[in-house]
Amino acid sequence: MENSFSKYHFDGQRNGENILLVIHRHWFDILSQFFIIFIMLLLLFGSYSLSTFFFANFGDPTYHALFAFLRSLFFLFTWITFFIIWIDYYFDVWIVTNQRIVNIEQKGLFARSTSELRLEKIQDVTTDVHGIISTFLNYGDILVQTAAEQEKFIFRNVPDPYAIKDLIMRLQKKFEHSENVEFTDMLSKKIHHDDDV
Amino acid sequence: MIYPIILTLYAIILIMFIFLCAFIIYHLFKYSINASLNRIMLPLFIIVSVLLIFSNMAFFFSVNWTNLFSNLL
Repeated sequence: MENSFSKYHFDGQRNGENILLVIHRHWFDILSQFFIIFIMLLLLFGSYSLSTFFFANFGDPTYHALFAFLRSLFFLFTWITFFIIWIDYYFDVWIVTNQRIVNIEQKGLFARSTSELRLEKIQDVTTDVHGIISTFLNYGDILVQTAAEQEKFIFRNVPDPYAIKDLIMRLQKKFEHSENVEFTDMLSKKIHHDDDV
Repeated sequence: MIYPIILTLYAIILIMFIFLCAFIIYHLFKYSINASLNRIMLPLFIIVSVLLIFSNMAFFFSVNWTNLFSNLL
């Protein structure tokens, strides 16, 4: 699992911190936004036949150049809109590492926030798959409960939430176990040291 | 008289597009977590955007704006 994300790197990644999972929102979440792009492209290609239908008087070559310019401008606008939607989707990411969970939230082009949750702070993980489409396509929310005074950490509309939940729980248990072993080692060393003295 | 106004408006639109393109490139360059995907998306976006902006400028200057507006008004 570690090898598949070896080429990934994020801002603030620590030494010895391995990425175990990179989670984006489910593709269905972006589909509704890409529907706008689809409508825009439909309008663009439809304009070739519709312009002669609605603007029969604009048969002059001057108007041809004008329409070509407007179509080109509209396509440029569609192209940029497509990338803004894609950036908002692709850069909105949850990263599970062997030490913590990092949430990078991209809001359009001009806002970006990063929050993190250390594995030892996790108390409970729940999944919420709501609705017919979510159940059918297997995507939903994951709520990671931390200590009482802290807010919940939410993974929104992520694919395969049950598998992700299992992974987080396994990591948390592994982390807890290693901490217990460390504590026991430290305690036994201390006891032996006191006996020797 | 109308041509300088059209040209100014077009310059504003073009500057906005270039500004947005610069921000998209900055995001792809700075915040991408997957280097191999970045190697595809960054050149794709730059090449297509440059082509679209230059073709749009060519289309703009091919329109006879003075003649167009004298016909309309």
